[in-house]
Amino acid sequence: MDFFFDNQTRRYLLQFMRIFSDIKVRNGPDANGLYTIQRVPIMYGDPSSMVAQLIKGASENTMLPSPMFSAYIDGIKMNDKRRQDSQFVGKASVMEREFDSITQTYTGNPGVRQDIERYMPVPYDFTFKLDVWTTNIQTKLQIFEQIAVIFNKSIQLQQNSNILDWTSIFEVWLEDQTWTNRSIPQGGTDERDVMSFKFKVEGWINPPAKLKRSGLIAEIVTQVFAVSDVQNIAGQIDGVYDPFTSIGGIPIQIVTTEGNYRISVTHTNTGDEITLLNEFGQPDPLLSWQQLIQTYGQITPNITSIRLKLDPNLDVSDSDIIGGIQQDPSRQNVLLFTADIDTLPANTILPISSIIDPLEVTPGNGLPIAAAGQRYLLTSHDSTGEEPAIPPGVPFSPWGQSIVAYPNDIIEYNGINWVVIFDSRNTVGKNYVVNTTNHSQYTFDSITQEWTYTYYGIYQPGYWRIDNIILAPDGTSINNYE
Amino acid sequence: MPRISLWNPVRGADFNFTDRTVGENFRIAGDGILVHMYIGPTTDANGNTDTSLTTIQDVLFLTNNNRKYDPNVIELRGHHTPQDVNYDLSQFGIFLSSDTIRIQFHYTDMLDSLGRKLIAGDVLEFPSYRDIPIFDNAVGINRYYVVQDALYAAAGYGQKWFPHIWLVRAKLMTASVEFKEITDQAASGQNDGGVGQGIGIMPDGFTATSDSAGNPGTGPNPNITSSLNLFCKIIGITDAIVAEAAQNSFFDPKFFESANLYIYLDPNTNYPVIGSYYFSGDGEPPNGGPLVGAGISFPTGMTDGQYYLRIDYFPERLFQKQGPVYKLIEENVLKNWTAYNRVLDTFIDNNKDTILSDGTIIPEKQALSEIVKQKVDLYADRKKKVTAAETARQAIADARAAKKGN
Repeated sequence: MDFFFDNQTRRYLLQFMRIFSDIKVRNGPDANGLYTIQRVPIMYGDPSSMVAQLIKGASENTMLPSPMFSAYIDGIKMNDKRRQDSQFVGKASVMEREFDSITQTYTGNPGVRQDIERYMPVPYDFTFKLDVWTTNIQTKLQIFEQIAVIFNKSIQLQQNSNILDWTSIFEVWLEDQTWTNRSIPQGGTDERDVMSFKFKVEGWINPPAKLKRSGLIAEIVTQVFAVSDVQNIAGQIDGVYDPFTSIGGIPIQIVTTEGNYRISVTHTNTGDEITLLNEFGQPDPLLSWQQLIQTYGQITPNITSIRLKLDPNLDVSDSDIIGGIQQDPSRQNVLLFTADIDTLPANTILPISSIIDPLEVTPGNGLPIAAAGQRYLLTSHDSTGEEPAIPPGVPFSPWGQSIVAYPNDIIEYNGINWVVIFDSRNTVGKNYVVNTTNHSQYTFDSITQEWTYTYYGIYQPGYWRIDNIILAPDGTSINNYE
Repeated sequence: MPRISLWNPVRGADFNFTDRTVGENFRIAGDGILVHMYIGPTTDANGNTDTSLTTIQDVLFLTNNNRKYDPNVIELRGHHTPQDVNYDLSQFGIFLSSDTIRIQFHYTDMLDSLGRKLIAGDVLEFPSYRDIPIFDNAVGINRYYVVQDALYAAAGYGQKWFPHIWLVRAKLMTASVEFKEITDQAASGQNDGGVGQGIGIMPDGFTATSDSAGNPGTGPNPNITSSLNLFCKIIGITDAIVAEAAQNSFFDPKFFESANLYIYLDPNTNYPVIGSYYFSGDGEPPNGGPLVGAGISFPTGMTDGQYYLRIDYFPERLFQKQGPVYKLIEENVLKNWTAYNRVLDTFIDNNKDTILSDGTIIPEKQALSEIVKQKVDLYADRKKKVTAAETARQAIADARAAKKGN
């Protein structure tokens, strides 16, 4: 095991002691009526005996000044609640300004590009104590009042100024105070009066980071797996078994996830739900979102979200549906899901009022009286799609004589007649529409010739991901995948 | 024939004989101890400077924090037992494990010399304990004790039951506000740390030092001060801690050394890409670019892409002219480090003055309990009336209670 050490605990302590390094007290008036302002010194409370002797001047006659602060480390403990994905590697890329080594100055031009990899640090809570030695209560009150307004109930500090150190900002919490170490009233011995403050410092201990020369590896990988390249290779190896031929349009992707869990996204009366399924796609009430999420991080309200991947190619994210999540309070394997409408595909058809079988219900008979702008998606209980849902030439048809519509078509009343505005049999690609009755969006795929909910269904491992699940040490939320 | 009795309310010749004998013992064999007599606090509870020995300065907490000492130091002879003591390492440095000593003084000599008994608060200076610290330019300093309590010594009663010896329990003095006059006086250079104020009792091997100007007794001598009072040493340690902390994070509140990083520019517009988040908050144009200037309004004639710092904002803001608009690029948040947050800073580190409409200039920083307080007591009459009424009512109530018992 190679040596590494970055003085991290020392930096936390330094900044902590700095907080109290400029507290002042006002003395006086003296016999001349003058007041003096005096800084209260602070030093580490666990000095070596030798150095303490040196400070003392190796004399019994030198006088220690009072008031005085003393700070020291009282304890250290790993904080499990702040633990994130323990094996997460955060990456950042930076480019330095060009450095002129002759003039020892930076120019305004871009310089070298570097990639930084940071391994998830370990969360530690330090207990720092601050003791205040005073010789009278007036001085003590002056010091207390100045410290009291600093912490309400915490302050943020910075243990170094490197922008790439995601643990540079840390929080100091004032947890407890002890007014005096003496018994009141003091007994026969005149003890030194010491007031104590107890602080919690939420720190992180980092392993070394990696600094790499930035390359264009991502582009190279894309070219290697480009379908056209693969097809060229396949064409050159005529008659020989070519493993690349099995690739098809999408590079082979082997997805391995924690537990290989699947999810089921469904619509209920109260909204959308996401149920955690086991690796076989079965619901199991004993499965727990909380346990799964804790493996990586935590749900941060309004920040953590679930990403549903609709495109078969995992690398394509254009069609991803993203929405906020919230734990169902009564079912541990269910999350309440609110899709971000901005991530839903744009509707290609104006909203429909409902899905109907035109032979079962008609305007004024199970449906409102026909009015301009009404739109219905048609289905048929006795048609496989080849027979019209609204056949032509039916005398006194409430839909009119001129309309012929098939299941999956969408019809609209234009104020005079019912007309087909979406011809499912002659459309190409995907179309989207919202049902105003349940506010769900449907997708029609011309290949499958079916209307489906845009994002309801079962999602395989890899086709759902949780975004912003990791609360990074610098306070930002990040993904557990790159 | 009267009954034989050693006890006699009149002390008489026997007492005087014994007392002189005891006093002779102290005068011959006692250690020379210099007494700094406490003469009262600098002010009483109302701020008056006319105080006496018995004045209490803070009647709530019952403390006398700011003390006056008689500048004339008086030598007394006392007996004490030097002890082997250990150093006691505490969180504040090294103390002596037994920093309390007991000293016996001849009661009558004490009264004759001081005019009163030694009391708590008096300071005792021991030239016999004189020592030189190992600091550079250190000078010899005496040891100082503060009287904690004083009473008759049990062993000091004579055959006639009258006491002859005054026992004092004293503790090592600290360099605190209570004893500022003592340490200031010691640092004045008058015979090395205030030894005897010219009495001239100096152990062999020591010579009188002077102040920094070479004039004994005319000003503080830093060598004496730093030898006596460890404040300078420990504040130096504090400053070193702050200096190291500043190396890690110099500015406040959040400072990132990122001026060496290149801010990406939009290839089409050459404007900085704000989302690249490597701005250091220094109000400087990215990539070391030029700043047109700084002021409270944009100058005319700025061309596209030029930067200007608006100092009328708090914090100051860096703008770039981008087409017809001035785009906010970043804020200049770098300032002196304090433990307070940025807003609280403006309340505490505040030297501003406010000029009122009548021309009065007052500091902007005010204690909340004192702000816009009435200049004269507008309730003085009302207070008198209320107090008088209550006094009358109380008198009646007391009279009735005295009669009826309730």
